[in-house]
Amino acid sequence: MSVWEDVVTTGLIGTDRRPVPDELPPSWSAGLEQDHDPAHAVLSLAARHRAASRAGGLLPSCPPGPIGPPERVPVAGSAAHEILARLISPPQVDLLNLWLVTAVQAGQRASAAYWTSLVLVAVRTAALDRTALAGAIGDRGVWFVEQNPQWARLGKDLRSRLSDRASAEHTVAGVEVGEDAVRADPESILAAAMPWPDRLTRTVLEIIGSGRLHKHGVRYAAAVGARLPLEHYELLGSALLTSTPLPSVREALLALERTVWVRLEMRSAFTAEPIMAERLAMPPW
Amino acid sequence: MDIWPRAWLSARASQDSEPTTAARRPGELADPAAAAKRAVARAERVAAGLEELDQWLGDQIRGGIAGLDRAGYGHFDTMAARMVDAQAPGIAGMLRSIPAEFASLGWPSRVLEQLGALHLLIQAHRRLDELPADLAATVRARIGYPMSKSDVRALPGVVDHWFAMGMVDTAEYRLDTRRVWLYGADSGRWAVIMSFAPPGGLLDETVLAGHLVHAQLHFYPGSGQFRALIGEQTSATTGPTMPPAKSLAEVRALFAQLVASDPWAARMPAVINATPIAGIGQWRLRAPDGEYCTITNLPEEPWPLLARSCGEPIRVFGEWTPTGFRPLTLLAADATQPFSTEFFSTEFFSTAVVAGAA
Repeated sequence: MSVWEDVVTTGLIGTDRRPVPDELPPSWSAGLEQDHDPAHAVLSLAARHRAASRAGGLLPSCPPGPIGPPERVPVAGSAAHEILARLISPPQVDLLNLWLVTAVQAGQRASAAYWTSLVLVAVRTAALDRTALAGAIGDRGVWFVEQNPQWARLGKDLRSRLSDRASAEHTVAGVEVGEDAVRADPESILAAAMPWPDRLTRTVLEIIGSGRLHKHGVRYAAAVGARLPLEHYELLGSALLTSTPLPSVREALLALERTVWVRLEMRSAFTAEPIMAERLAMPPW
Repeated sequence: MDIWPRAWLSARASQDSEPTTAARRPGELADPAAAAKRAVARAERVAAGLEELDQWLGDQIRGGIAGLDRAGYGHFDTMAARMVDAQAPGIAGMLRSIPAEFASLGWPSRVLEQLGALHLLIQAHRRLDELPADLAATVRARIGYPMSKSDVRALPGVVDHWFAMGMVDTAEYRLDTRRVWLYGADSGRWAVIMSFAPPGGLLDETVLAGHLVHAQLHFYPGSGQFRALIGEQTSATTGPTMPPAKSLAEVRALFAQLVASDPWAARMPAVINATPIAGIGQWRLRAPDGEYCTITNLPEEPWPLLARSCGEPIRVFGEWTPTGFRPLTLLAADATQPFSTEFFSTEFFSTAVVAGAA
């Protein structure tokens, strides 16, 4: 038993039942003779041990931990990460997916500073595109996910998708769709070959602006916004002016405009090219 | 029994006895004689309270501390309340922190040490007049003698470009506390700006992590003292300067110096270069030479640290404590990029890139 353990034992049992250790090293016992009360002697020894253990002693050693694979893909710039920070808190999953896909397509990846937040979103919802996530955090990011046993399932999933980089590029061939087909089935635009012509954009805006989609309008508009050719952004201006003044229409158009604008910001952030359009203002209804 | 410096108080009272109608300067008292009388009364009250505490401590050790873990918070809260009555709030805070030790193995050793620290404070208070002025000021501060902001601002200040390296908000017994750590570019000195608020109240936002201020800081008296108040401010004329990282051995040596000047010191700011290693229930920061310290006091596991590191050393600013290191800020790997500092938020440890200094 060390001297300190001996003192602690006395403190635990009490000086009424156990004496203060009498064979103390000189460095411990100096000045203790002034403490006639054994309880005070124990307290003085405790104060000394506290100071000594805080000030002295050696730190323990351990072997190095595992090291992640080297980074091969360049990190996206600060402008792209400012957008990511906005989308991640609170999480806007559809737009996050767009960011991840855009990063992969640009051959860039998310900064490690955002990996934990992205992973926490992915753990909570399957709606986050895991193929895009794997591509956007890269081999090193997937290694990071694999270090946490609580993320084991996600790590395994990301590892398997990492090898399938082609799918991460989201190059969907699409089909030829006409205006009449879109009017008959608005969802068919989502399968149309991209970029689609401006007459299809006008048709879609007409559908959203008519209010016929009711409460489904917002989801539809967001999905269209993720695909709408960015060059057609200014066509939204006339839709804003001519649409049916219903709250559901307004919400849908807001969702469409916001999604397309974020995509414009992303393109600018990842390519360093300025946005050539002016942001549209929603007229008061 | 020695009572806190009557001679100084009476001297101060006689110095300031002439009434004046002019506007008071910082630190000047409206009625010095009455203030001196109040100070004497307070010192006597504190001394009486500490005698009661000394008796209580002795009783704990005579009877043995084996059953203290079953006595719960109430046992310590009762004595803490007595210390509040005795106008020794610092002592009350130390007493209230003890029951938290019962939650983990090895508590007898740690509790005995804490009781020993209280015993040491009582001893120091009894000999206050004999202590060096700095140490005496530290003892008064630890016990909880008040010091007005105007008195602190009346002390000479340190003018520098101060960069807020990190901050932490804590809730301690019905009080929210914010610590903002500043580093002086020219002086190389550390300071901490503290603010307090009732639970849910607004903490001071004058200086937050990532801010750079060119200001005169007035330090509270006392050895090993970091706490300061911001005095006169002017426009910053330079960017922030980051302190160099230190080895764990160097940080430990600095903490030893701090403990030598303030035996009750609980934390110290430090920048270290180390590799985080995940572990079940315990994370480590390992220095390149193999030494490690544990990561402590985090509400969540520090995965963002590992994300940034991926097994390689990173520069981290935080608080060095006797139980481990509390990371507050991740610094850029390249010391020439002062603004790529990332601050932990308490929620999910999500990180935010600081775009620039205020």
